[in-house]
Amino acid sequence: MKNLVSLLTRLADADMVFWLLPPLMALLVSGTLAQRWMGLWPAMEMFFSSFIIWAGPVPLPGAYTLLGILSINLTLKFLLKSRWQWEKSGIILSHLGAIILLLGGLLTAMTAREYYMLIPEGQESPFIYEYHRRALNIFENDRQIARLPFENIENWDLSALPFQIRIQNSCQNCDIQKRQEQPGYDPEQPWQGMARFMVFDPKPNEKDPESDLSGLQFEVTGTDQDGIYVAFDAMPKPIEITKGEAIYRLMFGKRQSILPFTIALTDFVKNEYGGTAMARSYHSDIIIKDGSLEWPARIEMNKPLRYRGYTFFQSSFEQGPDFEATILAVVENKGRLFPYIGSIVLGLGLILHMGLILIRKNTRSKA
Amino acid sequence: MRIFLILASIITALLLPQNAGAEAHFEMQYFKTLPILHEGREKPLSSFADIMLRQFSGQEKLQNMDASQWLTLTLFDPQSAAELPVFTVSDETLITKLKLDKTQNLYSYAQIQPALKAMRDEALPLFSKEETALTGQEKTLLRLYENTALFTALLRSFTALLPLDLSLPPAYQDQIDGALNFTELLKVEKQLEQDLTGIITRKGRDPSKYTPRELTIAKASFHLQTLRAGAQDNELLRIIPVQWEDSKDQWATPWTIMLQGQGGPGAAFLLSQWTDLAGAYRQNDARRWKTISEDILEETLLQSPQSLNIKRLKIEQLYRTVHPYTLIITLYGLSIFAATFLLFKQPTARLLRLAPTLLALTGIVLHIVTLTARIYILQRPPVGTLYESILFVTLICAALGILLQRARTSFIPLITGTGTAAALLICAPVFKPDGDSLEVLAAVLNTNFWLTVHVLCITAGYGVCILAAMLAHSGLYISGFKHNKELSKKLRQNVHRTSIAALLLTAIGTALGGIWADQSWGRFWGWDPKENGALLIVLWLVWVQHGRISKHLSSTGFMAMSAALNIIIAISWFGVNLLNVGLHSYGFTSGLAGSLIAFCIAEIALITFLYIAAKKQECAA
Amino acid sequence: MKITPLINFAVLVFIGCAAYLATLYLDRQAPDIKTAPESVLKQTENNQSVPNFSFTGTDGKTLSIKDFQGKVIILNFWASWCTPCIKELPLFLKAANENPKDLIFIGLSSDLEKEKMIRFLKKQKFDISQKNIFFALDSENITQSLFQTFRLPETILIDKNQIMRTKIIGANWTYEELISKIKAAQTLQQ
Repeated sequence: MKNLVSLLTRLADADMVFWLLPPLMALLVSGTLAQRWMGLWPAMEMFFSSFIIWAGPVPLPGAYTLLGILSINLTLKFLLKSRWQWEKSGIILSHLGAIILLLGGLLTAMTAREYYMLIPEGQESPFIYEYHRRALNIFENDRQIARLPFENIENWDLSALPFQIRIQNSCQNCDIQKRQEQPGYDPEQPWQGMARFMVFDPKPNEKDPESDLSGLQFEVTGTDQDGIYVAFDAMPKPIEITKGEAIYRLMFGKRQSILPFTIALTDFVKNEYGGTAMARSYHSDIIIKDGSLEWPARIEMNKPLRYRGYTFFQSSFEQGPDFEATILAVVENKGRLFPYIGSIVLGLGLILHMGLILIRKNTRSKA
Repeated sequence: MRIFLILASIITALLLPQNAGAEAHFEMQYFKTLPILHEGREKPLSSFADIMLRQFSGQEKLQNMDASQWLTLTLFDPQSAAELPVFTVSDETLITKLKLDKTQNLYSYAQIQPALKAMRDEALPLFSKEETALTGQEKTLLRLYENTALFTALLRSFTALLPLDLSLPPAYQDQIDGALNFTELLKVEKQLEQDLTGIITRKGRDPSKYTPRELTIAKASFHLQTLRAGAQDNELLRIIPVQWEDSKDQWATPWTIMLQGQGGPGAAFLLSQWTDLAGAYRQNDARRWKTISEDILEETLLQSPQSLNIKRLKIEQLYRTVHPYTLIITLYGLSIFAATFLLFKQPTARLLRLAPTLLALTGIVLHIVTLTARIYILQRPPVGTLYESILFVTLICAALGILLQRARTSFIPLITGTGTAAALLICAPVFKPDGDSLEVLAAVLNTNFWLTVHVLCITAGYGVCILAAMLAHSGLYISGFKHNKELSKKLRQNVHRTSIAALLLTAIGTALGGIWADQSWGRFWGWDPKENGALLIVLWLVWVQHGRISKHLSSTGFMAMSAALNIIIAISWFGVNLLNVGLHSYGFTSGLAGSLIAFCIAEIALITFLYIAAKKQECAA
Repeated sequence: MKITPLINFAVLVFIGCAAYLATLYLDRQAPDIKTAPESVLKQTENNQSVPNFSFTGTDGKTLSIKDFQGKVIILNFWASWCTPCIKELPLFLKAANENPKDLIFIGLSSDLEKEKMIRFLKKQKFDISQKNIFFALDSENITQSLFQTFRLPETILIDKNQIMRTKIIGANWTYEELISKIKAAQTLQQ
């Protein structure tokens, strides 16, 4: 027990900060430079969302490690050594603010989810889509009976389906080739739908997983239209297969979830700067339909809508010759209050500390 | 990209040549204040003229004309303007390629246009190439094409109103009011069309068979078509207010008014006034010019949207003529000079001893006034671009320098503050954007409370950091070479307090940035380069403080590490803008990476040198 | 056991709970009834009065536009050789025929001869007998010089106070759109 206490006390030492900060600063600089050369997403993953960064065979601490140790150090210091005295109050509060920010950041990193919604003018939707993960959705007569996550394709449990699916191949980012031009093309094989013309070959992933074109090729048996099919990102039409009276639709795309309510877009408005095509501002006028409740709201740049744990931001829009659609970014973050609390505490602490220094300076010079 | 360079020369040939005569001196004050919508903002014509002239020639004056006078020439006498050398071509090999005269400094439109036309096939693929794939010469060439297209649009702005070199048969002449221009010719368009159809039916399309009368009809019809075709894509000179609320824009060019149905009785009246103004110019009638330009200003303001304010236009004019920053730099410079002088000689007159402070104060007041003018002109807070943030940071540096100043002690804080401010202001024009330094911002950056407070806080923090770093430099110097223990101690205290203030501002500023990001796009922290940069500064300040408290840094070490804050600021402020990645890439970028690295190396060397000197003294004590 | 750790631990726990409860509260199903902002009646800033001009109708009487103060006026610039004009004229006439008391239609033709215009109207068999419908020849070319109209057709809607409210460019609109624009012109300006 005594060893534990002395260990904890050592971990709460002030000079740990002195040793932790230089590697953290080095991490910041190298991670930022990496963003320029590796692309935002890979650099973020490697430097800022990891415990260890491998520089060849050498393990270096990643952001999670450094910030983790820093959090432990600050929290232990706060718990064990921060006696509340007036002179120290500014410092203690500032540190408390930092702790809240760090712990809140940890909570966000673990639980926050980001999605997007696309709603054409005059239509409504309860669906939110993930940016990176894809899924194969199977519907029986318009009722969803399966949602198979693409990143877990090796472990798909297809036994509950009323027909059989056997995966032949899949790729995270695919190159589309013409089926007929492939060496060893066998026209006798039961190619169905787009599989008649398209072959998917894996190619290196894009810098941002959102831009990957994922796809898979699979064989279906036990239906009226058995054969080999392909499914891929943004396929224009779902695969339709009948079995007796039932119609099955297979759709592949960004993984979708359902909100507990629906958003209807009544009007999308874009204001431009006179004489340029630069958008001055744009906003979406919507109606939220939650069970029996319905009421209007407006989402515009820098003025998001917060409802039931989801925050909706005006992210972008799509415009065609005869249609307009709004694109909303959706964030679900249980830890979203912590940055505010932490910032306020930190700010108060610093102001208090500054104030105390000035008062001390004045009393000293008067003395 | 539009490459309709062919038509322009024909069009100017259609116009009546200007009577060569003694150039009267025109009263320009009303003309200069006329509002024009350009690059998303209403500005005075003088600003527009300055921007255009600088874009074509790199100069502020042309021969003996200022930009506004050059503009009147271009608008009202396009034929002469086409012959005036105005384009600069910076690349030597390009000059040879275009077969231009090497001895000339500037080239006229009449010289450039055929040269570019000859190169068209070669240049065409360049337009679709990525900007990063272009060589310096190719970029210059493309810019030349763009500038020429812009100049063409400028030449054609008033071709609807200028008199034509054309005679009409008497039957038509009766219907024309006053001088014959495009607008008047339109009145008889239908008639011309019918007559021409008749002629072609009778005699075919060969003009050699026509009688003189038939020839004039054919010519007039051709003039009409060519002039009208030349109005395509001409959205440059938006000086006529549009009264119709359904229309997309509140200002239109004369051609747009005529050909896209934006006109109305108000516009009709204004256009007739402009026609008269052109007439006064071409007839060298200075008195008529003055009266009509005053009338046009009055009428335009009457018809313009309520948000336009003549005061704003006048202040912008003043801002551009006065070059306020040169004044401010001079005042700061004089203050430094006076302070340095006082280090050696102490005059008895109280006023002279106060001179450095007073000079610096005047500079600061002028600085504040200038920033306020920017806010008024742009109707937004003044920290949207890198250039603007420099203007703000320097104010903070200078102001803080004064604040830390106590009259009896040495002038070091003052010199540091104003010196840094002056140095940065001298470098600032490098970061000025190419066109208008009074820029309009993209949607997400406009009028948001959190953003404004965040940027002001962080930029103020930068200012305080720089000041702390410069004070640390002075402190190291004093410790190492001047052996003044009391002064060293005073400076050390100053650095300590300034660092805490810097930490306060940068930490709160960074937190506010996170709050803005959370409010605007749903995440508080995204490891964005600019966020990382701000955090780097905060962490450095924290590290230096902890080093001092835990005694890992000696007092000299503390000063040295505080001085190194300069490097951190340079990386975080300028370096991040150069990286141009992520959400914060709204800053201006250029090839300054080399200077940045050179600065960092120089600073490291300097600080090391000062540190060694100061350490020696510390050990000797 | 020192008391500091207990107090500080309590502080942390308190903050955590407060945040949790606050989040729960904010995430409840409760509409924030702020009605979507009303579409702001566009501040018609510079609306100018229609300049006075006279015209001579097909019946030979000379009138000026100021005579029609108190009624909504459709001022249409057209000509017999302008195909889209012919397409839109019946819609204007329908509107005028359905609102004889409040609406005036003035069709100003850029034709060169009056007889041509009258013959054209007769041939089209337009019902122009109503008292609120006027066709006149634009003999002084005010279409271009006064109204800056160079492409036909263009139509200006003028409200009861003789203020020019909207301009309709071209003939690419439906009858419903016309009626809604007329209704908008009938509302008082802010």
